Amino acid sequence: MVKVYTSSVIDAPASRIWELVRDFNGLPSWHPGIADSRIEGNQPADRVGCIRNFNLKGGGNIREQLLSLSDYDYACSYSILVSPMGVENYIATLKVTPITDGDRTFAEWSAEFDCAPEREAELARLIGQDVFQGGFNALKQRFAAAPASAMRR
Amino acid sequence: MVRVRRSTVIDAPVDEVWRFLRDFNAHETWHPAVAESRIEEGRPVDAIGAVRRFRLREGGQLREQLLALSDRDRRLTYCILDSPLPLIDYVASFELRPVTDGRRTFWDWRSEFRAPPGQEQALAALVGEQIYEAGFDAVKRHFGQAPGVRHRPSGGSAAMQAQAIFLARYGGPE
Repeated sequence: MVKVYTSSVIDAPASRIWELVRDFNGLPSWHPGIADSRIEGNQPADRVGCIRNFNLKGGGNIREQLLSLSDYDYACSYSILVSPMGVENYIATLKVTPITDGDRTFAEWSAEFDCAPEREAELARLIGQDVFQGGFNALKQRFAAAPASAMRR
Repeated sequence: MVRVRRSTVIDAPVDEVWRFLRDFNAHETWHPAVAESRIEEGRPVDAIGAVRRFRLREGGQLREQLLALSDRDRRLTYCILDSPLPLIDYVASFELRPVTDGRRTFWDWRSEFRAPPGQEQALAALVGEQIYEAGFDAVKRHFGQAPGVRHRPSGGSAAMQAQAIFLARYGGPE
């Protein structure tokens, strides 16, 4: 089992970050690696069990299933059903927590998965850096020094 | 049930901050409200069930008991046994998490307690500000960092910022 954990501090209130990332179909609106996304079977994006079907900008189609969504904890988890990455038993969790000191956000994105032993380091870097840190960097940039009015969607 | 929660970011690696904070008796060295503290019956500071007996600088003695300590989760949980304040059934815990993009630490400190009717808000503010936020600022100073800019729901952030700059420059009011 490979474990990946990436965390960051984003200069925006946790409620704003959550508003953006809780949309299970919303990756293309904030994550730089995602080209397009749809929810299969016209299900609501906040229905636990729904499946998002999305394409990477670099090519490749991924299907992921929403396992849990909590507006109370500001957290969601999901599994990969199909991907070109060569991972098995992949479960990831994205969680945002308020930092009361400065009204900022502590963001955590973690995953566990199995893969061929020789690919562990490469996949851990791809997922931890390109996917998770890449997403956090985009959020940081989006909210960097933004006046309150610009932080509204 | 009154719930208090405060959180901050310390500019130091999580293992360093945890080494500093996991010592249940060390608050006498870093928390500005604590005058002196000792563990009762000579027990180790990391023995679950250990009781710390301490005096506040402003007077008043407390006894608090270590309920749980996890080096894996970097979490410490304790309760109040005796206190001059009516913090009834007070259980608090703090937890550290690494900020992986930068060698920093997220520190979450929270508690639950009951209070006499009408005193909930005042006690919640006292715990949040004079214990947790004052503790944050002291630990930040220990790690060479300026005290925090607070978010308060009604707060004028410009005034808060000015206050933070003042504290950073002149070393605080203590």
